[in-house]
Formats: sequence, C-alpha cells, structure tokens
Amino acid sequence: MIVFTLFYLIFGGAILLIYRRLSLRSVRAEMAAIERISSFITQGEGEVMIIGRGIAKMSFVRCLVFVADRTAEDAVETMQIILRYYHIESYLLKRIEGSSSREKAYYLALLARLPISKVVAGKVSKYMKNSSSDVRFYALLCMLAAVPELAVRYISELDERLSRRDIAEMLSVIGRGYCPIPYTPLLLSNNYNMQLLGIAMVRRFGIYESCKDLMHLVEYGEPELRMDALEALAYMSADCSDDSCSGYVV
Amino acid sequence: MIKVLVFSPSFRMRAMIVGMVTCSDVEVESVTSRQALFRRCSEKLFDKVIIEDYRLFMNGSDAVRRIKIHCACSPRIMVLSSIMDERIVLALLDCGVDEYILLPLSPTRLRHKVCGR
Amino acid sequence: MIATILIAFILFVVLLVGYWLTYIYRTFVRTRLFALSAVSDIDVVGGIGISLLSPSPININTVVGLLDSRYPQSEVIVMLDSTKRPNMLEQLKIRYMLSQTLADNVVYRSRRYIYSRLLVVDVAGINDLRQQLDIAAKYASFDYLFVIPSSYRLLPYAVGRVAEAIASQNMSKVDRIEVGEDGVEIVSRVELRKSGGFASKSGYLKRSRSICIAEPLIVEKVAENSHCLLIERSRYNFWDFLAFKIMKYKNKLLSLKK
Repeated sequence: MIVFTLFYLIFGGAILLIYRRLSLRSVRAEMAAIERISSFITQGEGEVMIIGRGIAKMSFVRCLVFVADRTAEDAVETMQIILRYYHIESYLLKRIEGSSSREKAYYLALLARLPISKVVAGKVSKYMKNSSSDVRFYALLCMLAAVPELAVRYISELDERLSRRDIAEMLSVIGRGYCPIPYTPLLLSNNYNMQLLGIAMVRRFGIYESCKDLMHLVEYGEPELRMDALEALAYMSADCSDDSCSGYVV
Repeated sequence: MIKVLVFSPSFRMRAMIVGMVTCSDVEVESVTSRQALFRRCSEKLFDKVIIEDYRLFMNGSDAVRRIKIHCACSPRIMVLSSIMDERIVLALLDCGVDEYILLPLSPTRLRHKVCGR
Repeated sequence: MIATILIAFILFVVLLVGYWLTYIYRTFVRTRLFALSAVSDIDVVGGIGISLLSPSPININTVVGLLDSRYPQSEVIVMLDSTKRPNMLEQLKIRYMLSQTLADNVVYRSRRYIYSRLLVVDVAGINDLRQQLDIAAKYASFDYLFVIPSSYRLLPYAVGRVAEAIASQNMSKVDRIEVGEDGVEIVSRVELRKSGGFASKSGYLKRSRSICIAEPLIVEKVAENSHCLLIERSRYNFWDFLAFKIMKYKNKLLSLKK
C-alpha cells in the first residue's frame, strides 16, 4: 500500500509537472487557430495558419470542427475553402484507413461534423459494413453530411435499430442545416429509425403542426415508440385530451 | 470605440467569439471565470457583454445586477446558447438579458450586432 | 534470489501499469467520442430526465454548483433539516424566492420560472439518510435519481453524460448506472419504488440491469481555474485525461490520509 502510494505520487507528480508546461502552449496555439478561423469566416480574408510550426494538423482539424459545429449555413462556403486549402478531407480519410476501429470511429465523427464534399460519401460507404457499430454509425453520419438529399434513403436502408443517443447525434448534424430533412415523411413512414428521428426532430424544434401525426403514433405506432411520441407531445405542452392519449394520461 | 467583454467557461468558445467580433472599431476583452466577469464589469463600463453560459442567470447569483452595476441600460447583455426551449429563452429575457443568440450562429450577423455594421 | 524477486516485482508493476493504462485509454476513447458531439448540452437525449438529490449540502455554493448542470432536463432536490440548519433554509428562500407549496408544507418551490429546477424538501425530524432520500424521491419529477454526496462536486457535463449513457442502451432495460470508482450511482425511480425504496432492507436492483460509466464525472473538491482547463482538455486529449485521473487518485489518497 505504501509502495503504491509512493509510486502514484511520484509518477503522477512527474506527469503533471511536465504536462503542465506543454499543455499551456498547445492551449494558446488552439486559441490562436480558432481566432484566425473565426476571423477568416467572418471577414472572408485573413492570415493563413502554418501547420506544423504553430499547431499540429490534428489539433487544427479539431479547431475547425469546433468552429463548424457552432456556425450556421452562411459560413459553409468559407469553411469549405479552408478544407480544400489544407486538404483536410484527404488527411482524415488517410487517417481513417490506417487506424484501429476505435480511432476510425473518432475520425469519421470528426469528418461528419465538417461541411464535406459529396466525393467523401463514396469513400466512406465501405465502412457501413464494418464490424464495429460505432464505425458504422459515424460512416452513416458522414454520408448524411456529404449527400443530405439521400439522407432518407440511407436511414431507411439501415438493418439495425438506432439508439436514442444516435438519433440525438444525427439531429445535431441536421440542426446545423447541412442535412435538411422534412419531418412529415419521417413520422408517417413504417420504418422504426425514421419514426424515432421524426419524433426527436419535432420535439427538438418544437414543431407544433406535427401534433396530429404524433397522436397517430401514440395510437397506432410500435409499443416502443408510443412513449416517445407521448413524451414529445407533453414536452411541447400539446393538448393531451385527444382519445388516442386517454389511456396514458392519469 | 465599442468596448466588448466576452465570457465563456470554454477557452475555445472565447477564442471563437473574439475572432468573430474583433475589428477596427471594437475593443475586445475576455475573462475566464464568473468572478472575473463581475469584477471586470464593476471596474469598467462596457458597451456589450457576450456570455456563453446561460446557467449563470439561473443559479441565483444575481448576474444581471452585478453586470449592469453602473447603469441599468448598459452594458447590453447578449447570451449565446443552443437551447431552443422557449420557456428558458423567455425566462432569460425576463430576468434582464437583452438579447438571446441561438447557436449555431451566423458570424456576420454576430459582428453586425456587436459592431453595428 | 533477491534479484529474481526484484525483477519479478518490477515486471508485475510494469504489467499492472500497462493494464491500467490500457483501461484508461479505452475510457478516454469513449469520453472523446461523447465529448465531440456533446448532444446532451444542446437537447434532452431520449426524453430522459434526471433528478439530482443533494442530502444536506455543505453550503449554498453546493446548490449553485448543482444548478450549473448543463443538461436541460434535470432538477435539483435539496434535503434540509429546518430545525438544525434554519439559516441555510432562509438563505435559499431569499436567494431563490422559495415559498411553501400549498399541497405540502415540507416542500419549497420558487415563484420564478428561472429557478423552477430547484426544490427544497424539509426533512425535519428524520435522521436516517435513506428515509430522507425516499421522501425526496417522492417529489422527483424525472425518471432517474442521482444521489450526490455533499463532499462531491459534479462536473457540468456529468448529468448529460449519464443521460447519453442510458440513451445508448435499450432504455427499458436500464435500472442502475454506476459511476466509475467514485461509488456513486444513479437509479431508476420506478424500479426503486418496486424494490422498496432506499430505506428498504430488501432493496436490490438486478446487476444485469445496470451499466457502468468509467469516466470521472465528479470531483472531490471545488476545481480551481487551472483545474477547469485540465478538466475541459481531458475530454479530448489523452495526456490531460491521464493527468486528471492521477489528480483524482492523488486527492483521494490525501483525503484518506486525513
């Protein structure tokens, strides 16, 4: 016990001391990168980052993803200029090829959060058959981000059921506007994943016009989806006095 | 010269907002903690305060009064958040927040709101 | 002979450290993936709501810290004995404009919507912690109960991370969530009631219906500014994650020594 305590304290102390010095420098580099990226997409001009000297390429990609996640559609074109200039797509695709499935999922997740070109969809489609569920899911997200027009087709062709967390993540890609999907075909379809996505979408965006479709789901939907539909109605403070809800309201 | 104070618990968010609003007409400062935010607001009168931490107004710390300590109408408090729930938005506006900006945001619109151009 | 024992011991330590580092790396990879999307900061995940139960918080900053949780669908239920800590109750009533509800004299809610996530339950005359928790659970609005001991501080993304962990599974089959080495757990309110509540001696939730989150979601003391940076970076940088874990172990060892 004493030996372990000493070992932890010495080992831990050494790591903390060394890393404290290094991490502050990389924090400053990331802050500078994010400032320059934000300034560039606001003004349309700015200083170019020299990758390798000021900041590592992977850190720069993370900074780009951070900004892309929090900026709306009108910044997409400028973001795409940055992606093309630094060859980010090919860099990430190369990294995905040569990594383990855990790392693959992470790089695919990074790619899905950027405004990628349609070419990427063809290159990541092979990962839809990967043995890891995380890799399959993030490959799907990449394809949704790359070719949003075919989003409904990709989701309907899935063999497995998505979890509610997967749906929430899909919504965050849709919410940025890269992947506009109408909610009505989702709610009225017979596909479990599409219905779940539709329910999450109307709840997230507060689409009150969908209440009738939700009540239809409460009455005729799959047992697993009825609670979700009812909850979405309650969250939107919809009128639950309809007959379809009467069995659930106490 | 428009004086702007930026606060977010996340260093990346601070950097992003500073990058978007910085221009020749704007003097931008950023703070890293809530205590520093209140202290800086009491020391200097800012035109605009941009906050990406809406919880600050919902935990009873009387944030609006402490930010607008010099004058009831200045600085203009702008809150950035991704929460779409209208009840929370209305509650924030009701407690004294001047503007609620939804994330993901438009950089040019944010700059226009801050700089006025 | 001594040399052999020494070599064997060193090899054993190296293997142990290697195994521990692999475990830390796997935990980190999961953390990084969840932190990238941080969907629970934006929206309610899977319709899951979590009630945070705080038995007898040390001071008002504890309550402020719990209200800082970023997950939209959460509430804070504070259990306070008005006979032993009347000042604390008064402070809360003034700060959050609390008033007794008409239905029940022991429950205090705020008149303002902005503080509607806070509920104070007066547990005067009840000394048993488990009975206090059962009373608080009765007033909880959400499906999952997260009991936070008063000596801990919750990280802002912790509640959302728990909701995401539940939403990643088949939700109807999750009754208990354990948080790593901290010995803290979140339980389903419905199943807790079926098993007799916290105070029941026969209260037992099946292990097969529980999941474990290995990431650190709570810290032993209030994080200072420098620790805030470490905590933020630990979600996407392996070495910061390792440093944060070591810091937690160090704090735990030091608190055990005391």
